[in-house]
Amino acid sequence: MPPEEETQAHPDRFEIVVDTVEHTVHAAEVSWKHVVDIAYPGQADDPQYVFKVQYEDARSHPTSGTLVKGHHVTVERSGTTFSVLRSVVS
Amino acid sequence: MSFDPWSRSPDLARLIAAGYELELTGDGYLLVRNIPYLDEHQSIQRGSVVSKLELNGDVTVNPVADHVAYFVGTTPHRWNGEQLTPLAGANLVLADGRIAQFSMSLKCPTEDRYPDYFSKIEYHVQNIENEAKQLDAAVTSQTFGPCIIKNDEWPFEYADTASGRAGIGATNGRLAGQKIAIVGLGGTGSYILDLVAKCPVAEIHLYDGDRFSSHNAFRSPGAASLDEVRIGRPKVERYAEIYSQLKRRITPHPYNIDAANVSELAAFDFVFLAMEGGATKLAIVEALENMGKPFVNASMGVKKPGDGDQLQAVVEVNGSTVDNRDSFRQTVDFGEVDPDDPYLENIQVAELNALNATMAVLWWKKWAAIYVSNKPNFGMLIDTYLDVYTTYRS
Repeated sequence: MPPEEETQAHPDRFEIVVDTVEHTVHAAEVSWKHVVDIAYPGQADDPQYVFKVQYEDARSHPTSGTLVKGHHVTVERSGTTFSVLRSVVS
Repeated sequence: MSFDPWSRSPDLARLIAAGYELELTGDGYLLVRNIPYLDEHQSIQRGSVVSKLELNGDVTVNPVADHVAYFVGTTPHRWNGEQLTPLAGANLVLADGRIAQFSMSLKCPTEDRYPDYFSKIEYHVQNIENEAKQLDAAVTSQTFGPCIIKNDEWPFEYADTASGRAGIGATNGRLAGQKIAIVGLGGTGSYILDLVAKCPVAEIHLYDGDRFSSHNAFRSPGAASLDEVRIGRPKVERYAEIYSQLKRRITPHPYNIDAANVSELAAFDFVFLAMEGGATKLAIVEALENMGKPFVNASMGVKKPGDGDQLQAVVEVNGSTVDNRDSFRQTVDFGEVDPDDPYLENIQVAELNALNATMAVLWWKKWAAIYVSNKPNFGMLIDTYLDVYTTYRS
């Protein structure tokens, strides 16, 4: 099935990019935890780690910025991009 | 207030602006070096004019009480071969052993006393160098060469004259007197030192137990020689030696700070944390908080996203003062470094180290009110992948 028809057939599919890699999510609201789980599976809830999440080209305003733990952004059908990193070396 | 005669004495500032190579000795003399004069063979030599310098604190006392000046060099002559006048034998021994063998008793031509040191120095210097200019019109004492203060209170080996302001100035003066510690002299810490060494702080103390090796050379300022890398001295000793060429009172401590010796940081006014090690860093942070110290933490993250070999990075600083201890704790990552972290493979990202250091020093200078801050933040973050710049506020 061509991608366009697939999207129309599945209105709950959203293509996001996390650390240069495309992922499909099934709700327009994407949480900080969801993004961190994609980038660092199983580590989002580790209390010692602090993941820094930035995003751009979101549907919600502001369309780019920092996504803070406990919050979410509303993504576009495709193209909303996230960057997830720990900041621990010197 | 720091000892800052260049800024606070307009006559000295004027001499520097005119390009004279001044030197303040530790025993209260003002020298003007590199003055062209004629020796007995009608050859052009270089000597120094010396004047007793009367300071009230770091401000010159004017008008100048003493019109006598001294000369360091061989006997100065006129263009026609005669000995320069007025000239008398003297034996003024300066603190570093230099001897002025001549005195010159030139009274101020227009007033009872010289109105300031600019007029006194200029009149004496011209009396000497005008003779040399008869032979070569191009020679000058106004070389715009380095100005030096041999006074223990002065923070540098020589003055910043290229900026047109030889002194510290009122703005940077807010850093004067501060005792600074840099904990960790890796990539980021070495660039922090590079910037702080140009500031008129009272003392800089360096803490790091590592030795300088080839991988350090590729993530630190300047260019280390092969010999330096081979010798592998303690990093802090190497850095202290290099930066002491410019900045006075840099002290190396060739060991790491940890929970056992963190009390050493009680001596400082501000601390830069540029180290790894989650649990150790947390212990240091707790101790600094208990001491009531302001400090800034510099950190970054680098990885290779996806299956590629390109880099993705985040560079971050977070400052902590009594106003934002909780926010700082929530923002800083105290976890250990992932053993697979590409940074541990010694990938060379000196630009990130330099950026991280610049952000840390900028945060410190905002804290010290050097920079005006519209909305004070406690943290700054730059993400290289999305080109995002973020600030944290309490």
